[in-house]
Amino acid sequence: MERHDVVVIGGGLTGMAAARRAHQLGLRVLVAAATPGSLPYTSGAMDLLGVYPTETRHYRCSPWEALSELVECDPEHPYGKVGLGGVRSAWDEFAAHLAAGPLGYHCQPADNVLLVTSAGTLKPTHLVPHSMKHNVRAWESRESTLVLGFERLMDFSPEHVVQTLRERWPGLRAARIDATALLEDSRRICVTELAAAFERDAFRQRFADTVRPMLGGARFLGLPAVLGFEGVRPVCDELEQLLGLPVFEIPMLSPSLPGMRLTEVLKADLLRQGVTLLQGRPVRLEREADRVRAVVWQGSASERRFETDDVILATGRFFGRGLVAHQGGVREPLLDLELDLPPSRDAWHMQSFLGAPGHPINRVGLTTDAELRPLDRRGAPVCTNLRAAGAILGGHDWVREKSGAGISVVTGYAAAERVAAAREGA
Amino acid sequence: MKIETEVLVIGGGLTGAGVLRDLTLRGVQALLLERRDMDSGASGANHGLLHSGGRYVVHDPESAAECIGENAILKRVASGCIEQTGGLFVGLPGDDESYAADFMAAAARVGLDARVVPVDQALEQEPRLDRAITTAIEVPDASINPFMATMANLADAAQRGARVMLNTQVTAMRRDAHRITTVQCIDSRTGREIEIEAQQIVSAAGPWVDRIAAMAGIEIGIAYSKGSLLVTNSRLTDRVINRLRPPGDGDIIVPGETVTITGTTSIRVRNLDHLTTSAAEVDLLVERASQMLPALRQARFIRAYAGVRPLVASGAGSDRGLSRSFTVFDHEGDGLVNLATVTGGKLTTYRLMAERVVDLICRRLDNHTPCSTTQVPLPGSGEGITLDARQRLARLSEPPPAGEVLCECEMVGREQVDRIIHSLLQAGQRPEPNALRLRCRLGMGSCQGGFCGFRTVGHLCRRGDLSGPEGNEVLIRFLEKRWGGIRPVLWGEQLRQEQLLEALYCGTLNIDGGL
Repeated sequence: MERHDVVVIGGGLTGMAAARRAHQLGLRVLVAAATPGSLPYTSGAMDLLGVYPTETRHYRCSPWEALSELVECDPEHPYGKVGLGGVRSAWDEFAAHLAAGPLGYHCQPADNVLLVTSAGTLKPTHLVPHSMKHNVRAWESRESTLVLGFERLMDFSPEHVVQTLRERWPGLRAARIDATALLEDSRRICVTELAAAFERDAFRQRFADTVRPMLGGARFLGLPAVLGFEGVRPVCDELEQLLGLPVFEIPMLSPSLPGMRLTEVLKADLLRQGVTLLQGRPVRLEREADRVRAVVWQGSASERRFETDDVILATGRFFGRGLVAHQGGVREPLLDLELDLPPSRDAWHMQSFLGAPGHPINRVGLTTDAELRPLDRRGAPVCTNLRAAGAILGGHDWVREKSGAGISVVTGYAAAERVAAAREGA
Repeated sequence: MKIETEVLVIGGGLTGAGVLRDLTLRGVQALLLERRDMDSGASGANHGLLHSGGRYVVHDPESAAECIGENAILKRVASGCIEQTGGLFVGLPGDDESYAADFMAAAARVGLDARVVPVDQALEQEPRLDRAITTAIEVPDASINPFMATMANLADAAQRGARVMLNTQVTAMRRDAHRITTVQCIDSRTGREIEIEAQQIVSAAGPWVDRIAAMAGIEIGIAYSKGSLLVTNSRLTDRVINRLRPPGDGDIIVPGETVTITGTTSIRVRNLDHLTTSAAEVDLLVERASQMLPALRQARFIRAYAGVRPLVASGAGSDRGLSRSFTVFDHEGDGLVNLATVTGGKLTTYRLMAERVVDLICRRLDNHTPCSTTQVPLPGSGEGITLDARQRLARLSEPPPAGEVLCECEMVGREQVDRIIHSLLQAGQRPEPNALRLRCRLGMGSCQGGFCGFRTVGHLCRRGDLSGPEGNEVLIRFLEKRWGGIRPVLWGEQLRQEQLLEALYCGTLNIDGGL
């Protein structure tokens, strides 16, 4: 039997942020996760708050200005629960950590930035990895830019990007190369094959030789997000040297290497700090009266049982399986909580997929007290030593607000801090 | 613009396409108008079931006899669109046991090839059936791809000189005492007005025939019965499964290529243009159909859709009691000698409906060429969609060829899409993702267009078929159109899929943001 101060359930961005903060605060922490989380599917850029209010789809240049309005008007929002000071300190610390890490995250602290995507749309975000720094700058400058795609890579069409933006950015051009000629093994062209290739010297040389004559006076070169795995930063730097111009990545729908890189880097950070990470098997709670006594990790061969003082639930929403929807409702499976919902499934979603203000079901989630402890229908904490963090919380719509990473990090930190504060008080 | 034609066919569903082909086979020059794309009405929103006749055998022997005949004919002449699955009628404990005897007696009377099979054998053939079934009767049901059938009829007619105008809506008709002199239409994309003069006009507009007739000053009494269906992400049976009892909700399960289609309901509606399926209807279908096939309780449904059956005659009583046979109106009693309307009926009887109405038209044209659609094979659509499920499934398990796959759920490659785009452009159509979907199943799988829609728009931009910033408008239009059918089945795994797509489109792309 192993004993921990706090067990974090969930290995996504929220769980890793909570574990990081708990470790900083001197707690003995374990992460147990059933799924790899949703972070690998994200763009890799870190959003704090890009749109508020969502009803009017109001893009906000300053996330902080938007946040102070939100915290004022919407105390049940996860940001409202944490408060402006808590949001700021958590986000600043995490941003500094990512900036110092191998992916070299970058931000203009006061402002959101706009990132050019593979649909030629502009995505508001706050922190971008080094490989996308010039993506933001290229759009800001609207200087002559070449967007380069690969033949047979169907998930990225440079013409789609360029046609969408050209009226507003006349100096944007599209071109393609056939990478099969540059690859030793040219069976298929896909994101992971290209990423592996870009981490090889010889491929980068051949790539640069092929692309150089196509640049035609461009001041920036944009590429799909395939420039290597965790070694993307040196790949970018070297391509810039070889080609003599700034190179940037454009986030793709799927698969998303920038999301996978961030996942791997954060995981490595935790492991380096000695935090144990268990992944890929179901987890259950062992409860005793109004407390969680232990978290049980259902390994394939045998179960491992971890007694703990506190638990942070960071299992995500439907995609991460933190919430499960059935024909008649939505359940939180670990605590076996049925959530309050619109009365009919007809009212879960709007008539329009992409319309404002967003689907009612997106705002459904756990209701908590100020301590972030989930409440039952009578308004009492379900367990006195269990806190929830991240997307599983109710009262937000991160996809419409462009606040996904922020909610994860900020509430993950806040949950860990509340655990530490409660221990000190006790 | 003015066009003259011998015969004008209104309606681009399977019946209209069948009428057009039958006319050309009899040497008649013809033009077909469809206000949207082919199969936009009931022909694109049904089970894809080639009825054996078993469903109607007890209560509607006229429809049953039509089905029996057409089932055999189409298996012979349109085999490329049909998978000969066979079908079972299964009884469950508590079902009226005398119905099985009635069924067999009625089958003998109308000549339906029905055989009682031992329950053990049925369970061996279809292991997902409820183990408690009490009776099983084998019938020659089959599954038919209506999109392929319509495409094949239109293509064959065009080959023989017929003209097809999609996205062309009839707006008005001018008539004198006995004839419709001019049909006025509008090209819905360009707004261009077109006047058509035809010696004869066939209205094959399905549930919209009353609107067409009204333009000629004629009233037709049509009742609209909405039927909803559900699609699973996998094929759960090899055969069509029917409930052995009088027709009711959720009692037919049809394997269609890689999926299973479950239906239907029967609900009177007034508005034909915004059909939706409610959560209550979905729940009813799941509950009823899973009585026969318990696996449906845990199945992942990827889509719900609804079509409207035009039922001729009306009044009180259950719509299930109305005949599913078809009607040809000659309108001579209304004083018109150059309009005929064909409506009602079923997908299975489209060929016979076409034959009957074309017989009438040819009499009026003094054309004595007999119908040959019972004999002349229907050439395949040429798009290489095999309807042999085993072949198709084998194709799905192959690795994608060199990454040039646009739709991974249905394994649609770039070359196939390019061929379809070419033929659409030749016909003056815009190659939008939805038009591709109807012609090659792109976007019909689990992701419901979320991933392949994006790839397809990227590909269209690359080809230069979409210009300027319209790519994302086309993409959003496609996603919103698919959404209508996704929304009613969002729970479990399909809700997870939807949440991923929403996160990608709103989170990664901010396509909802309009920045």
